[in-house]
Amino acid sequence: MDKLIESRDTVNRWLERFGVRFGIYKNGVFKEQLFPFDSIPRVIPADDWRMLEQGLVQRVDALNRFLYDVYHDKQIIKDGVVPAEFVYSSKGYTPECEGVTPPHNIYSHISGIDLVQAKDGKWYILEDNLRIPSGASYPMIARTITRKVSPQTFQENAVVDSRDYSQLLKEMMDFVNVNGGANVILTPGRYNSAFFEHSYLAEKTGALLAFPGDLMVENDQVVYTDMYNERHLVGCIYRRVSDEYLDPLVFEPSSLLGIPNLMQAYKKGNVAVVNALGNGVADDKGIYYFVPKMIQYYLHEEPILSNAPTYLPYFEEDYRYILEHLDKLVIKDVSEAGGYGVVFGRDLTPERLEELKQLIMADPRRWIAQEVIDFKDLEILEGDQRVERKADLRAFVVSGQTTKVWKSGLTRFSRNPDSFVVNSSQGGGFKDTWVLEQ
Amino acid sequence: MTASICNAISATKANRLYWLGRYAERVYLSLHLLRKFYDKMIDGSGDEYLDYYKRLDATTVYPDYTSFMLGYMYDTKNPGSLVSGLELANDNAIVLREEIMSETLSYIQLSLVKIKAAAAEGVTNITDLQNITDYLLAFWGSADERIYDDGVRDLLRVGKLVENMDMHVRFDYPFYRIAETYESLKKCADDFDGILDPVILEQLDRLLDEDCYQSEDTEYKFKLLKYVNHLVLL
Repeated sequence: MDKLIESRDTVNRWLERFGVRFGIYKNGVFKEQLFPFDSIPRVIPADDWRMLEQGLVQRVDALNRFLYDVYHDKQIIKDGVVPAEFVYSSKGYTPECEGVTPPHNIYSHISGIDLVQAKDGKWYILEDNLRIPSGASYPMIARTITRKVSPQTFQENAVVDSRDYSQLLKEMMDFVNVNGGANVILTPGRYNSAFFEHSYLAEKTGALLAFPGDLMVENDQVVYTDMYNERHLVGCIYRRVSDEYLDPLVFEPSSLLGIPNLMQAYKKGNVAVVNALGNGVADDKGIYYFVPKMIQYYLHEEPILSNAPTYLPYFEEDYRYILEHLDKLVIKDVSEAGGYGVVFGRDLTPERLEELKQLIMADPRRWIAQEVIDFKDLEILEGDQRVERKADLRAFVVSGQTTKVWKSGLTRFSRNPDSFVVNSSQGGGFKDTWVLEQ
Repeated sequence: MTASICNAISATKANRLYWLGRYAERVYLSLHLLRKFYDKMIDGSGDEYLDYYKRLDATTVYPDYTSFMLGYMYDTKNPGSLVSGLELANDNAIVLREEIMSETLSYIQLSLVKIKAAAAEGVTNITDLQNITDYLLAFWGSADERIYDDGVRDLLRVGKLVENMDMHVRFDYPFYRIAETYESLKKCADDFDGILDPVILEQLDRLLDEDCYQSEDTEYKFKLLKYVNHLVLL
């Protein structure tokens, strides 16, 4: 593996060559940055992976059942397992999706589940991303490059080949495709932070990459318009545009990114939308608390993977605990994503702690609190030195005919020695994730 | 249900392919022509760059040769500079990854990285940019090799051939080169219904006459360039 580790700069040059960047807005100005790759992989032994795989499939299956239930019978609410206000006050709850059934009842086709490993080796789920989880393309292309740059590393180590992600995506899109029309990836455009991913996945899955304006709805069918104004039927849209911008006639009327009348075509079952609309209700940080209960409720199984110990100020007992232990907890604003809205109590001055307390008291539903997990640090190269940094793992679970976990994932690490925040938008880097054959 | 294979090209993509072809060819030919002028200046008065620039109808004024070279190669505010040409090629290429493939795109990326590094070092010797010429040749090779969709490849090539005609007319290349490129362009555009303006096509068919071309009539050349640049309806 030493050869590969020494090749970090070579791999990064290859990534630059292929335009592997992510976009970021700073002070209103769009900038594209390289996503720094660290060549020391995260290695997951086969036994650990088997457990993770089972736990992730179980979790995503339960979340899909929950989404169907929320927009149909609401049995989980009626049975008092999830309080109604958590569902209906969630920003992600979408009344327009009531009674709408996506093809094959699949809501979360691509789930990005964030995990961390504690120092004792135990894995914890940190977050479920069920709307538009991004990041798979980086380890995908990195593996292709590292195999080229250091073939002997892969001859000497029995690492599962992870270059099949695009195949998993394609199979899933084909499965949910409703009419044999084209598979399309809908991007908001070049200035989206994940544009590289949109274009790379289109290349690798053979899907059409559509920009705003390329798709329209005619007679309740979605069509792609070519240069001669001819229409081509679309059967599946892997959209990388948020729900609120997806159909200006139903959601945000000023949106230029969406497809007018898409909701009508979708409701009639004339197009599959990946991921389905309305998923935000299930990846709400408040709903996260209830996922283990969902697993018991829908699958009658014990959860294989644990949540990070979480408190909801909504519950009286938790509320008191949070206010008493605020300086030891990590507090998350349920409406934020991308590492924003995450505050470590220990980093706050007494004045700021008091301010936060007031905010929690004023709007308890807006917050969750978690115990700080002592992450297992991973080694990274800082210059030529090996140093340890916090890292998480985003596992990608693809739900089509069956639910499958991609045998790799995005390992993100913090470059700042004092930080637990690993998001690329906050300066983090990434590593390859090796799953060992045995 | 397996999705059908759809090779449809949207109007926006067609436009981007065309302009990617044009910008890639413009930078490639600019480097080639600059090298020729660079050589001329060894024996000349040193003012030859003025003629080079005049032929491109450039408006930015550079007081001397060194500022011309630095400005023409690296000035991001000059839309006619090499770095601007590569930026524009890249702006189109980056949104066409799935059509042209990552490998083809990579040669535009490499060219851009190279010219930015040269700009940072203040390189004025044109031969130091030879890598960009090599990358652009590789770009066209990769396009031929890796783009399976004839429509995508031909749209790129239409852009290339239009730019080739434009630059060659400006720099008084022999008539047979212009005429050959024009025939290739028509052949290349043959599969695209209505992509060439029929009125301009007729005018160009008439205008491309060897005697007229060699007459040094500036109005003729102006007209020729105008028609070449308005021929494609994208």
